[in-house]
Amino acid sequence: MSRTGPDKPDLDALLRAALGGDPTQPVEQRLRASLRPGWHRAQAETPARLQWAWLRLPSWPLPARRAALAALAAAMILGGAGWNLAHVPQAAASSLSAVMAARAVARAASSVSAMTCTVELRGAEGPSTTAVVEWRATTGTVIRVADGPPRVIPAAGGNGPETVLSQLGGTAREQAPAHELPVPALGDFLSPARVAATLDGTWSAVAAQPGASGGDYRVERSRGLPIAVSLDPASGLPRLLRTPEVAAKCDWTPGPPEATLVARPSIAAFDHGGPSS
Amino acid sequence: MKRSASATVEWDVHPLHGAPDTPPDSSGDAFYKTFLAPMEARMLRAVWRVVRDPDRSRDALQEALATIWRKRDRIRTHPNPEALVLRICLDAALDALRKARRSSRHLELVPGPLPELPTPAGPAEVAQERELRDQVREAIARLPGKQAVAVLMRVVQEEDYPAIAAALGCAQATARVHVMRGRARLERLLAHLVPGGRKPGGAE
Repeated sequence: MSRTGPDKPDLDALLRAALGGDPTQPVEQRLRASLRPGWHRAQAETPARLQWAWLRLPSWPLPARRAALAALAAAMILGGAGWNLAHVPQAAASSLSAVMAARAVARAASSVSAMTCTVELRGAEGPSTTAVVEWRATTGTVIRVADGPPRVIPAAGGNGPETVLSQLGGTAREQAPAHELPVPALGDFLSPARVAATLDGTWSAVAAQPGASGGDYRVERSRGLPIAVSLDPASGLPRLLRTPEVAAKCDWTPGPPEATLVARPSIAAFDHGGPSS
Repeated sequence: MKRSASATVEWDVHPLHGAPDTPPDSSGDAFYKTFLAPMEARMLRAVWRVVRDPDRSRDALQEALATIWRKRDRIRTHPNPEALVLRICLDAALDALRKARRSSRHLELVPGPLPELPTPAGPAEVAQERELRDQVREAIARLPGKQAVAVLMRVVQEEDYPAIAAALGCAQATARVHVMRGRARLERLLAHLVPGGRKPGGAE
């Protein structure tokens, strides 16, 4: 290749030696295989990118990734059915910042109707375990838990939330219709699903849009009422801000009290420490 | 059984019905077939050559795809859509490189072996090649964005100046200036590796 002017063959040779070449065939296949799914994720944009950023976690040790998956399942349960995080199996919640994972999922789950996560954990002797977590706004949660034979937990047709929890080793909290739930105190925790269910009956009431105040606030109007959900820095759980507070932060005109909500989720089962390295 | 060899996580996400971000649709598929499918190899190689790590390359590709999706209308009407897509990929790769650099100032930018290199004679050569590569990538990461993209497109991807200019949205003369200044800066940063290279100025 003939170059003129500023070209420096020595430098070019150095750059090509250091930055040239192609990936190995397995790597290239892996990268190529990620393109079309990545394109679909890109179209989902914000929630998918949040998930990607949080759940790729390439630097996390394997136990942390597994725990992140379990925390994801927990957050799905929390978000999908308004359940208590304490129902998550203890073993699943160990050795990670579950709060971080829950926060990411809470963000993502508020604006998607379905998520499927498949995790393969490959050992030196081949595939050793697989976990699949599926959540759908319409039908509920299907979890095939890692370790041992995957447990398929149907979500519909009589196998509702109670079944899921019982198979996970937890106990279902009694669920009351949204209109019978107690009126929350200022700053009470709640799941995005409950906000949506209470206000609108749909998940779309809480969209993953940056609020006017920026940061973690997600603000949306539902039935003409301003609502906001902040992610509590200590727990990573969504917290409802009532109208005056919303108005103060978002410069909106206060409206009537906007929501009822679920009981405060417990995060006692989670280890709040970061991932071990 | 030891389970730390590898782990992969795959996601399929479907937005809400009626949500602002619509699910994968026919227009998205058509865009992919028209603009991206023919470029798959170039895209992933452009990213790989800078990032040199499978996981981070996938992340960078994901970021690039998200950017491409947002800029799809511009790409459709761009005089050189391939160059623009390549630039987006390189931007994402450089971001990934800089992020890795920030998070591991004193660590290797590229963990693991370098299987794509010719088989070296021994561990000393492996270490030497890795060190060389890291130094070059470190220098690339320190270039201003347009200079880095221009140099990578010109030297590594072997694009011509019209394509570089189209990708950067500037005149060819400006693209040449970006390449020239990028090279000059790299020469200073890598003076100890380039025969006849200028000595580092210290300010770099």
